[in-house]
Amino acid sequence: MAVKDQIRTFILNNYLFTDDKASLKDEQSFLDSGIIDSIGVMEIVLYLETEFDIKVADADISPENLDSVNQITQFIDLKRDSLEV
Amino acid sequence: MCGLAGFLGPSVGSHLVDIMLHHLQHRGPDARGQFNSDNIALGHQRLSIIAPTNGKQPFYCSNTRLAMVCNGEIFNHRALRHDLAAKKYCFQTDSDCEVILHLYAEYGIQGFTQLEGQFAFALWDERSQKLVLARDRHGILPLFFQDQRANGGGVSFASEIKSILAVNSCAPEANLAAIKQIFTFWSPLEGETPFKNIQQVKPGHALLIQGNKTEELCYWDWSFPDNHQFINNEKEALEGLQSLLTESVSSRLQADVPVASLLSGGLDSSSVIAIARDLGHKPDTYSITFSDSKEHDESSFQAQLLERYPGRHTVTDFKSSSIVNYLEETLWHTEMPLLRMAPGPIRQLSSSINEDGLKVALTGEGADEVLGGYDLFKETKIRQFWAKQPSSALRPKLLQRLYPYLNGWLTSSDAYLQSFFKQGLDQPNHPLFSHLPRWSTTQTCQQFFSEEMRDATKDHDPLAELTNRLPEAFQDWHWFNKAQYLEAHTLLSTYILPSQSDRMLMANSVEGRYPFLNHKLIEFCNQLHPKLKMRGLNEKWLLKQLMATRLPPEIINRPKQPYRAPDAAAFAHPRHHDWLNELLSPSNLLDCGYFDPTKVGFLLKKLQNKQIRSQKDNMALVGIITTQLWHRAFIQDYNKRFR
Repeated sequence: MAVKDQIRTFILNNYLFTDDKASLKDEQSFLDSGIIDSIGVMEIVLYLETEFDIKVADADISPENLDSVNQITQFIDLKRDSLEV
Repeated sequence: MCGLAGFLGPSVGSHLVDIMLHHLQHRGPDARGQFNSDNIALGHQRLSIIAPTNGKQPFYCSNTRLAMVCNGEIFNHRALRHDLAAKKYCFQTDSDCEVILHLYAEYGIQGFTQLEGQFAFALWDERSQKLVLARDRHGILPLFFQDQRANGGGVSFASEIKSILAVNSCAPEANLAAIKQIFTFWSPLEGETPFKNIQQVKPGHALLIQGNKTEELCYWDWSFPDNHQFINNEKEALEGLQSLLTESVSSRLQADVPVASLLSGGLDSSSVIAIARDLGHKPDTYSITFSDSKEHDESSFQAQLLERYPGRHTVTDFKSSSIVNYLEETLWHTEMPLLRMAPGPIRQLSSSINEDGLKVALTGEGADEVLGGYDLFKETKIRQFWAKQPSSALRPKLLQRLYPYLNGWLTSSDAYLQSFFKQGLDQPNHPLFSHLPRWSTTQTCQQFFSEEMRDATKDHDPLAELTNRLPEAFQDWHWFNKAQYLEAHTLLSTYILPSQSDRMLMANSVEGRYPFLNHKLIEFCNQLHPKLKMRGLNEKWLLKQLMATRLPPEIINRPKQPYRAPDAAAFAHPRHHDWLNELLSPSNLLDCGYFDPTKVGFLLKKLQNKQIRSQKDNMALVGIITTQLWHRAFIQDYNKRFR
């Protein structure tokens, strides 16, 4: 499954409790929608580190990197690219 | 304490009240009594604590033609009895509650303001054919009623809802608005129940039922200086607290049976025990431990207190997964769905007390509301400070002091902090400012409601309903006092006192007594400047000063830890999988109609993958499970249970 699809499925199943893809737009802000809380951010970080074998530094934890499906996907791609380099 | 039940209406027979009393035997196993007249029947199940040989109820005075049944303890009964005897009132028993009858005869409803205690009673005034239902100021003791006069029926009333259900002709229906309130506040609002057409007398209120009319009167409520003219003097505050709290503990130690004490390991219950010792009493103590759940266990602090005050001590230990075994029985007694698992272990604790032959236990409940103990007060202080300068990056970082998991990485991004705690920040004068983040979190559990449930409750706004009930003076109070008022009326009276105290103790015929819920103590403390209750972010500062030399420093200085039990963790054990899958199967969920099976399925998967960590997921899971069980017990299985 493509990274974006994995992320979308994770958020849908665990925070919106649905598998209906129409419930979440890829650019939709989690913060603005109230989808996640402070524990939710921790859970996302844990999921990313476990599922994608990346390290999420303290400075990485920001809405710029983690606040939508698109942003998380972009963040993972950047992390993986930096690992390859 | 006891159980009461009764019926006002045509053709009432003693057999009807017998049926009602049958469901209250756990509240009063020692004796049963009835009073029957043309249109009224009053019944009583007695738990003999004061005057065991001469305190039988119902009471009846042939001079005043007043009859009464009471569930309660009147701690100033001796002084009241003396005054009433001087006015030539004759007492037929040595019971403390009999004073209520004569107070009413002398002073009417105003007489209730002289009562210092915990009580719920039904008083029948034969001359005026008036029924008076009243409850104590804080909601310590319950009193429910069902009014069917509009349909040609009567009024039934009882200490517990099951008594009323037992004499109805068909299964009850759920009050969906009250369910939505539970998924906002953890409980229905005062006066409401999760059963349609069954209500409760509000704390500090009396209901006067006469002919076709009903009048609701408030005889007491929390109030605070609206001009912010507080007592600021520390010495005066300490002396007042010392005197009133000592007197309160002393009066609650009075009984014709031994009095025990619950010990959580926290400041409040420890203070009660220390003061009891100062008064020369040595109550047996009872504690709960969670040996497999460090975050919930307080045994080390219990041990600290016992080292200072050794005595006979009993521990009831819980393994997380065993809490589920008691859940159905717990709900039978709470009579409402729960969003936390905390009540269950307390019922097991009361079983230990009962097995030892004890009937009364002191508890520390109420101190957090009266003296500012909850983290919510601290959070509100920080948010108020932040609201004065919402763009500040430094001010919200104070929240790290409350929530250690925020240290470091989350505060590297102000956007997260702002988002999670900012609810209402642009409205610091909003009446519900202090509680908006908490209730907002709880309301997220409503995302699991079915479409039918959403539709049926879309016009009901619990927050608006609560706001409408606030007293006129509320807006002029100090923000700290507003938070106290909201706590007293949405958590203490409707969740903690019923679900974690009275019902769980009374399930095993144990009466709880609450020294911090003495109205004179509350009235005094309400005059104190909030900074005497919370100094900086140091909660219950005044109580800590009072008890500084009498309690171990580890208990004085320990971080606030409200009593909690394992929630989702209780259900995670594989032995519960089949049961849970059946209870939350799509067909069962559709049958009951409250929740969306697809969404619940994903939550269940999260539980089984051990991924439930957040408070809201915990609450949602417990709320869904207990609503299903509650519905099964009281609605689906009504005929099996009540016929």
